[in-house]
This record gives sequence, structure tokens and C-alpha cells, in this order.
Amino acid sequence: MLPIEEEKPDAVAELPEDVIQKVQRIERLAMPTVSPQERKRSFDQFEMGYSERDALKEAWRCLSCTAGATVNEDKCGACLTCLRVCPFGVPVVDNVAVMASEMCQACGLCAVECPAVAISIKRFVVGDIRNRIAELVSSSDKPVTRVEILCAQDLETREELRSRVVTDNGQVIARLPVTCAARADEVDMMKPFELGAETVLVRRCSRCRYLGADERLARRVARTRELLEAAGVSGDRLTLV
Amino acid sequence: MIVADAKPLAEVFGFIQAYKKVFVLGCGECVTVCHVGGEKEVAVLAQQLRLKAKTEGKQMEFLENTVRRQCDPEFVLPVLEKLDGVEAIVSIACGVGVNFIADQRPPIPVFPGVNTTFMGQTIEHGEWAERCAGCGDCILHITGGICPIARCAKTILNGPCGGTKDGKCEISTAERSVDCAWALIVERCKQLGTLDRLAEVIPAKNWATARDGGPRQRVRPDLKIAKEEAEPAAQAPAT
Repeated sequence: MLPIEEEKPDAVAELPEDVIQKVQRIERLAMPTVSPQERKRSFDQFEMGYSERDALKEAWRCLSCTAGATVNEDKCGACLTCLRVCPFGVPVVDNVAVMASEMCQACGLCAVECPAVAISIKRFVVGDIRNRIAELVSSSDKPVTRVEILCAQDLETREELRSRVVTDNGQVIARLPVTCAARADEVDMMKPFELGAETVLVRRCSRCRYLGADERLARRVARTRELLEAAGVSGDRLTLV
Repeated sequence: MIVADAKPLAEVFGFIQAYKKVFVLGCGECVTVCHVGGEKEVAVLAQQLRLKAKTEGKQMEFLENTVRRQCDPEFVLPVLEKLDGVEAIVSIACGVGVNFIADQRPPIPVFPGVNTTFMGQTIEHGEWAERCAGCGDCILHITGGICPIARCAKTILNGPCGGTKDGKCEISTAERSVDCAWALIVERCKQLGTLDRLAEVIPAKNWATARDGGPRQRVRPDLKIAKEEAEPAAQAPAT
């Protein structure tokens, strides 16, 4: 038999202790099983599997290893914003910002706060949210009256994880789940009004696992309300819950 | 860095409301760092202008771009060469960028989107303070590194004046506490052991090196790149 060369995957470094301290610990959900009294009677599968809600909760434990921030060095001005806002102390800034992939938790705060739009996360770039909003609004049969940007971490069904337009109480609502509501930037929150929406809602999750993200979002929403007022749109039409 | 503040949106809209196609142009240097003129803020301003145009019932198109710097031709000219029907530019670089664009031919209306204010440092994220007034004759070696031109309300050279109180300048208000620059200078010189230098009177400043002496220019002949001279026209051979 021919020897098969074993391909060794690239090693991901250990997560540093000071980052571990800042990462919210979420315990593994125990797999529900059939009771010993029941399972001793047959060879039927004894692990019952997760409910949809629990499966989603278990999936959210993912640490997004190496799926985190990358910096466009041509645009980075070493302004230090990412270093200051990162909940996990990941960026190192010398000539440009450098993100250690083993430390980054892919929250996306740095990408949204970067004034040069020089940072992207795997599967998220600044502009994604407003592009998705625009697609959703243009795909709707009826004019969308409300846009909701919803933190997906509290959602309990696969159906809710999909971007969709629903009708509720006379309102045509475009619902956009996002990995973290704190990724919504000022333009994402203003764009719906340009597209004809009357109100915009941003909903946080009940227990944000990114330290400081809640506060950054609250300040950003307050600023966006002022930006809207200056543009002739009442700031009350944007709500944060 | 140079620090600037965003102009009120109504003022900026007033500059460009007569145009149909407007370019919002940002800069990747100082105004990016102070979060008023980089690529992100270009998107914010353009979005505000779109909303404002919509509420005013005007059909307007807003383009967006950000260059590395608006004070060097290599970055700006390629953008100006491809304006494609743009009628006006709102530059959210510092005033230097606005001036540079205004110097170009053919002329295109260019308007400032920010008020350029001072040269300063970061105090903390989101807060900057003036530290240098660009007077052109630096005396920081005498004052322990603390500038009485930029940081003293009266720009006096042999302070403090009678208005200093508990280390604060008399211009302080409930909203804004301003350190007395000369109190800081004296404390600093005490720490450095150079207090005796302050006993010597600093003579009245010659402001000719500051903006007061007129617009300034700096030329470094050693850096200048020789321009190729045109070859003399070839002479027809004598017949």
C-alpha cells in the first residue's frame, strides 16, 4: 500500500489568557437523552437532539476562530481607533493596525468604527447591511414602511434568521437579522429613510457578549438621530431597543 | 494633526443645492484621524445630503470618493481628470484640500464641508486639544515643551497674567475648563530644573514668521527635482 502523506493543517495559536478573561463564557448545552429506564428497553437512538432554539443557541458558542478582522494596509492611517474600541485588546498598531487572528472574536466593532473603512471581517464588510436593506426593500411587492435591524443572537428559529419582508398591523416591515446589532453604522440607519421607510428599529440582543459594544451602538444611534434631524428627518423615527 | 469640525449640514447644502451632480471628496490623513473627513464620514455626509435633497424635493446625485491626501497633486489630479459631469465638489479635507482643488484648471466649484480649526493632539478618543499655532519661531526649549502661543489665551511670553486662578485660565467656563499655560510651564520647568531660564525675559515676539507676516512658503532647493529642459530646435545644415 502506498504511504499517504498526512497533511498537517496550519496551527492556530493558543488564545492568550487576557483575551480569555474578556470572552463571555457560554457553557455547552447538554444533549437531551432518553431516560435510562426507557433506553434499556430498546436499541433506539438515545440522544434526542437539540430543539431548533437550542441548536441555534449552541451554534452561537462559535468563537469564529480566524474568521476575524483583516486590515487593508493601503487605507489604514494608524489612527488607533480599532485599538481603543476593541473589547478584546486585539489590534497592535505600529505603521498600520495588525490583527492577531487567534485573538480576534470577529465582533466587527473595529470595522464599523474605522474612519478609513480599512477593516473587514470574514463574511462582513462595512456596507453589507445597507446593501442588504436596499435589496430587501426593492424586492418587496409593497412599499416598505419600516426597517428592523435585529441582533440575531436572540433569535430562536431558522425562519427568523432569514432576511424577509412581513406585514404586521398595517406595516410592511423589512426584517434584517445581523450577527451583532453594533455592526449597524450611521449610514445603515439613515439609508432606509432614503428608500422610503417611515421608521427604523435597531434591536440589541438581551446579553451582548462583546464588552462595550452596547455602549458604542447607543452613542452611534444618538449621533444618527442628530444627523437625521439636520437632514430634515425627525430623529424619533429611529429607535434603539 | 490638523483637527476640523463638520460644517452644519444646512450650510453645506446651501452651497450645492443649485447643482445636480455633486462629488463628496474625503482625505485619508488628518481629517480621517479626527473622524470628520475620511471615507466613513464621506459616506455619512453623502447620505445626509441625499436625505436633505429628498426632503427638499430636489433631484440630486451625490458621488463619493476618498483620496490618500488632498494636498499632493498625485492623489487629487487623477480624480479631477475623471469628473464625468460632476458640477461641484464638497471637500471634507482641511482647507488645504479645498484650496488645492480651487487652483486647478478647468475650474470646478469646490466648497468646504468642514471648518478647519487647529493643530492638536489627542487627549482621549473623541477629544482633541490645540497644541501648536504654527508661529514659525518655536520657543518650546525655553518653556519646557508647553507652548504659550497655542495654549495661552493671550499668547503672552512672560506669564502668567493676573487672570490665572488655581492653575486655570480666566476664560474657563462651567462647560470648558482651560489650564493656564503659564502655570503648566512653571510647574514643568520646576520638574525639569530649568526654572531659572524663565527669569530671563523673553523679548517681544517677531510675528513676521507667523501667519501675521503673510502667507508662508517653504522651499528646499536640495529636494527639488530638476525639470528636463526642451532640446533646442535642430538647425538646418548650411548649403
